[in-house]
Amino acid sequence: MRTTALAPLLLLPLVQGCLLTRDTVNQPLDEARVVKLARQMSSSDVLELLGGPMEVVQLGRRSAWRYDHQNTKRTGLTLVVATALNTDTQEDRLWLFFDEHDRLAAFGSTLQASSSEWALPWVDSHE
Amino acid sequence: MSSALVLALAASSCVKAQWQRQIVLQPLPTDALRDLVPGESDLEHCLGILGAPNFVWERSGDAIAIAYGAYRHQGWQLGASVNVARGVNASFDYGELEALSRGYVLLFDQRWKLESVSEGLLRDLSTEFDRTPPQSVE
Repeated sequence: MRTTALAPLLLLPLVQGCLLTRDTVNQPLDEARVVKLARQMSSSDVLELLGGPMEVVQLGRRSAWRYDHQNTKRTGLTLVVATALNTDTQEDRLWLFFDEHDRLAAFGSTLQASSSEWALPWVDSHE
Repeated sequence: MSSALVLALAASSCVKAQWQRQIVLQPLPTDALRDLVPGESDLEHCLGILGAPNFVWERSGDAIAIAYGAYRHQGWQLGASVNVARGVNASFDYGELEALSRGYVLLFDQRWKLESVSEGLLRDLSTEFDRTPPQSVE
C-alpha cells in the first residue's frame, strides 16, 4: 500500500517538463444579459444589450447573428522521450435570428466555455 | 542500468513520441432530438431544446439549415523532435470543426419549420448549402 502510494514519486526524476496553458477568444457571454433577450426585440436594442456580433449570416431578407467565446485549456507532461498532451476547447455560443423587419424571431444559447478542463489524456473528461 | 539511463537521456534529445488528445466542444445528448417533430417543431422550439448551433447556413428559397457538431480524437505522433506547442492550434477553427465533426444538420423550410434531421459527418452533410461570407456590423 505504502509502496503504491510512493510509486509516482519514483517517476519524478524522469519528468522533463510540464505545461498548463489557457487561451481564450472573445469575452465570456454575460448570462445576465442573455436572459434579457426577448422575441420581437429590435436589432438595435440587441446591439445595445450585447454589442456587435462576431458574424452575421444573411438569410434572404432575414439574418442570423452569432456571438461566441472560446476557452481552451492545455495540459502537457514530458517523461523522457514521451509527451502526453491534452487540449480541451469549450465554447459559449449565442445565435439570434431576425425576421425581415429586424425583429428577434428566435434565439438559442449554449454556455459551456467554463467547463473546459486541465487534464491529462488518460483522465476522463466530459464523459 | 546506468548505460540505459544515459541512452534514454540521449534519445530524449532527438527522438520523441507524443500522445495527444483533443476535445472540441461537447456533443448533443443522445436523446436531445427525441422531442423534435418534422413538420411541427419550429426553429424557436428546436433552439430551446438544443441550444445554439455551431453553424447556420442559407438554403435556396429562404430556407435555412443549422448544424451541431463536436469531436474528440487522440493518438500517437512520432518525430525526430517534438515541440509540444507544434500541432496544437491555440485558436478555435470553425473550418476544422466542420471538417472533423460528427453531428446533426437540421433543415428548416422558408417558415422556419423543421423539415428533417440528418446525422453524420458535418462536411458530408453541408456540401449543398450556400456560404455567404460573414458581414460585419457597424
